[in-house]
Amino acid sequence: MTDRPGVVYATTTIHVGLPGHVAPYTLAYVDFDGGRVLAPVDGRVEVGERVALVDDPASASGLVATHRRSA
Amino acid sequence: MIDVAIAGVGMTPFGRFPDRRIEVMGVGAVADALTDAGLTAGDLDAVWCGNVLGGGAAAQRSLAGTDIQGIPVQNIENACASGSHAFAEAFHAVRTGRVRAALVLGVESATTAFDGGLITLDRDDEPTRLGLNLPGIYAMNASRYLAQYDADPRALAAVSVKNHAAGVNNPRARFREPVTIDEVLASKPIAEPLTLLQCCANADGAAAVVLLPADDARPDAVRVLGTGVSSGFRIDADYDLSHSRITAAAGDRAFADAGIERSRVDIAEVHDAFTIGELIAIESLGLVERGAAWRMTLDGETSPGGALPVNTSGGLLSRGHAVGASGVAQVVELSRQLQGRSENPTPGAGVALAHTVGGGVATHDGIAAVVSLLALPDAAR
Repeated sequence: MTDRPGVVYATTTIHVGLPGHVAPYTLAYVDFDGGRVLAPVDGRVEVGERVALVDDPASASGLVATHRRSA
Repeated sequence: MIDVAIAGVGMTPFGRFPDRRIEVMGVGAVADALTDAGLTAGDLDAVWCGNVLGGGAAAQRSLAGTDIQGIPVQNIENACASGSHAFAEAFHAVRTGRVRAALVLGVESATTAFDGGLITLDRDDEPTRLGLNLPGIYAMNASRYLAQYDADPRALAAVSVKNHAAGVNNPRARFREPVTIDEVLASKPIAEPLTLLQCCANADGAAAVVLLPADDARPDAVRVLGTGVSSGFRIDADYDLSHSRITAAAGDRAFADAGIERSRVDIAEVHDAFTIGELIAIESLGLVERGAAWRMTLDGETSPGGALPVNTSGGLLSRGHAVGASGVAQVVELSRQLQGRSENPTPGAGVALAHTVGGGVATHDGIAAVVSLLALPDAAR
């Protein structure tokens, strides 16, 4: 599947995380054409920022959000 | 319908007491509430008890050291709203005449169960597998709220400063040292933008309330006007994270149940498990305009002496969160406040609101929210 463009709706960088997650790590709710998804973020983002949702089998949601703009 | 009064209240100090089991703390709070009501164990008709971490039959174990025997006893677990939900159930039982004298108990030994201060989500839903913990959920709310209203992040810290300041005077609070905005912002980051001093700690403690028909209570006893309970709403693509639907739904039901306008509320204890929770709660309850809470907090409007004093007991941020007991503790503190027995008095307050919301299922905005409305007899009419 190709990358999908999205916009960060809300985000946090978690410093005291759940077991099995190496802190700090960033999560974001990302709005895209077709809905809203909670995804791990490659790096840090701000609300309103444009990101790309990229398939990532290692993610529990199957996606990761990156700064990389969708083509 | 029977008018319901708070005949007596009792509460242990909240704090870190690893050697005090729920069996010990419950006995103390119940004894204080019965003494305050001028009743004995034999006068009670039923018990409702909030507890989360104690395992099965926490109420019966907590009452084993009292003379309460043989009457119906119900355990309620609804996360952080367990105690407040127990209060709502007991209220309706007295109001409808099902029972005459009801005891509400909230009791919790939390610090040994979750040493380290943060409740974790023992769930297997997708947000949890992604690493979204409870502070993270509230941090998502905070990031959205700050962006949506272009709000000053110092307002979040100001909630913590206000509530810690109130705790200084409250001998039942776990933390009794004042903090500054700079100290709050410089404390350890937990889930950005939330720092350690913006997150409540767990606590051990118990709180108890005795409810009676108003005709059987002292004429000046605080009245319970109404309650509202809601379960959670799914966080879907349309969900507005700057707002709390579950809190709004519980509030709507409580005001309808009580038959009063929101403008009648003089003081409130709301669920400040995290600083952003207080701001979103007072907006979602309709006590202040949406988007206004952050500036009102910075301007002191939610401090003692302001337009709407919030968490004058110190809230969860200074009292500590004895999970299943916190909702009952709110009622104890508001009852004391209305009667002029509070260490942080708000003279003239006649109507009070208590709000708790329990979280833990990250796919939804909460597990349960409960809102209760209390009033002095003159203000109840």
